[in-house]
Amino acid sequence: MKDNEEPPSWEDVAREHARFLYTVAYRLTGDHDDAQDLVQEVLLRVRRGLATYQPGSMEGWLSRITTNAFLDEMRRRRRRPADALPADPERVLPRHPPADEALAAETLPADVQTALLGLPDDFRAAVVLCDVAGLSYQEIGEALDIPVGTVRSRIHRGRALLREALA
Amino acid sequence: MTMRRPGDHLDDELSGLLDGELSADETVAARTHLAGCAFCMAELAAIDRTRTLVRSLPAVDPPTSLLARAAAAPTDLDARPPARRAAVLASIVAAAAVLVVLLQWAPADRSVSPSLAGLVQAHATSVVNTDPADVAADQPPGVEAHVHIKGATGEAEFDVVPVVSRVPVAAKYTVTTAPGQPVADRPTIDVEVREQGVLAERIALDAETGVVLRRELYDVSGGVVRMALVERVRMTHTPAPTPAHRTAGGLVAAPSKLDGDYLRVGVYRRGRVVHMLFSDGLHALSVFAQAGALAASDLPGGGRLVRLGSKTGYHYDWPGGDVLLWESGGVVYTAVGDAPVEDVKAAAASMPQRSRLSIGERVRRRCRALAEAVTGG
Ligand SMILES: [Zn+2]
Repeated sequence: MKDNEEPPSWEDVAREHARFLYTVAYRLTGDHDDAQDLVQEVLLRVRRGLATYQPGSMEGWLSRITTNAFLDEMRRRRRRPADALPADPERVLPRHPPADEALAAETLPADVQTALLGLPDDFRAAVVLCDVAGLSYQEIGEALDIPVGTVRSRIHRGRALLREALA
Repeated sequence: MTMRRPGDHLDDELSGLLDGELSADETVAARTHLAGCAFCMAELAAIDRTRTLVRSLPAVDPPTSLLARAAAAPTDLDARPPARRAAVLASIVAAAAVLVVLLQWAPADRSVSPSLAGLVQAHATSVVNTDPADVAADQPPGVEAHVHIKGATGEAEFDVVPVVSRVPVAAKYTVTTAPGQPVADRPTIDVEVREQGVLAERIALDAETGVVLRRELYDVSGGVVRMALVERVRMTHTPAPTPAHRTAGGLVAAPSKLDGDYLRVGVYRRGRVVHMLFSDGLHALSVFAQAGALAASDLPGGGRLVRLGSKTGYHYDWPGGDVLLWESGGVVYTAVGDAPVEDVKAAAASMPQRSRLSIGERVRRRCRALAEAVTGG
């Protein structure tokens, strides 16, 4: 077998894509411990899945694995209500600043992250895959197994909710 | 996708438009509606601000312990009853992974953190003149110009000595020309640039030399994204400089062409940096190459992750356009462009990648050879 026909080794994948993966994971979970667990899970899936990797977009493939691991984890948490995200939006969304402060206030990355966490999981996944991972609608549709029209709708609803939360 | 009656306001088409994900027909319909609807225009601006906030979120560095932990974790594969040889190989590969992680994060002599301001300066001051109306003489007189750029992210000023290029306007653009208003007391030709039928730019060219004297770039809703204006022009009465074609010293092969009809104009050596200058007839694109590994932790703040083909890089703004940064095969590349950002990304992604072995690949091969020696393979 020639070297250039080998699938990439998992440590190459880890080294080259750790920052990409971790950023997507952190934006999805909003928590360093959760992001580490998620990346750990993704790397395990990558190690098991490298044999099935087809040459193409490594980021697309990784994003699909990351999102699936994330959505699996969210489903698992929903079955355990104690771990569920707070249902009360006031607990996760930033409170609106008083009107006179609002004009001067700059939107900080932490505020955007908090607002992202306030989105329903499906909307958050679509927005993060589009605006953080930089995937096309087509790629997001394949990652989430939904039609492209639904991708557009979820991204737009997600952004509209973010806009309200950050207003 | 929902059916929409004419007269209804736009909905998720707004996000589709901002993401460049509408069909040509949908784009025309959305833009037609926007032109006559202040409500949707305000919605578009608000969604655009929100989208920009998410896209501006900084990249997040993983803790150094993370990959080592992942390397040590067993997989289903490793858990199989192992042949001795496979077990030794697995443990050595895991150790190699830790080594690779250390190599990546430890400060190394060959780590490179490009001086973005310096490279932007090198790009901006070698800006190429352009010739869509075939106005320039074969050997146009030299020009010194003082350019003032106002962009969404700030302003910048440069003294420029444009070099001559005869690069044809890329087929992706439709240009129409007409006599223009004088700029800096020079007669101009007004050039309207459309991409896929949409007004993308308006450019005022010096009628005698073809030098760009004013450039306005528009966003999808027709707003001015940035403007570059030549405030002073001085004719130097010496022929304009022609670009150099130095060899890149074996560091990289400078391609003759990049995606989007960018043709190579010149190759310069600036110390340890190779500067490859390209043009699509209307915009300049500089690709700088430096040997080394990208020291991502030393990069200035404000960079966003960006996908460039199969690579991940960083995206920064400069007042006159975009800066993209990525590493491939032991070479750090920095692209500086003044075209619409998607065009700059496509051209950067088409840079041929050097086929040198990565650190990880070299470590892996060495470990495999070691493992085979250990196990008598
Ligand atoms: Zn409307």
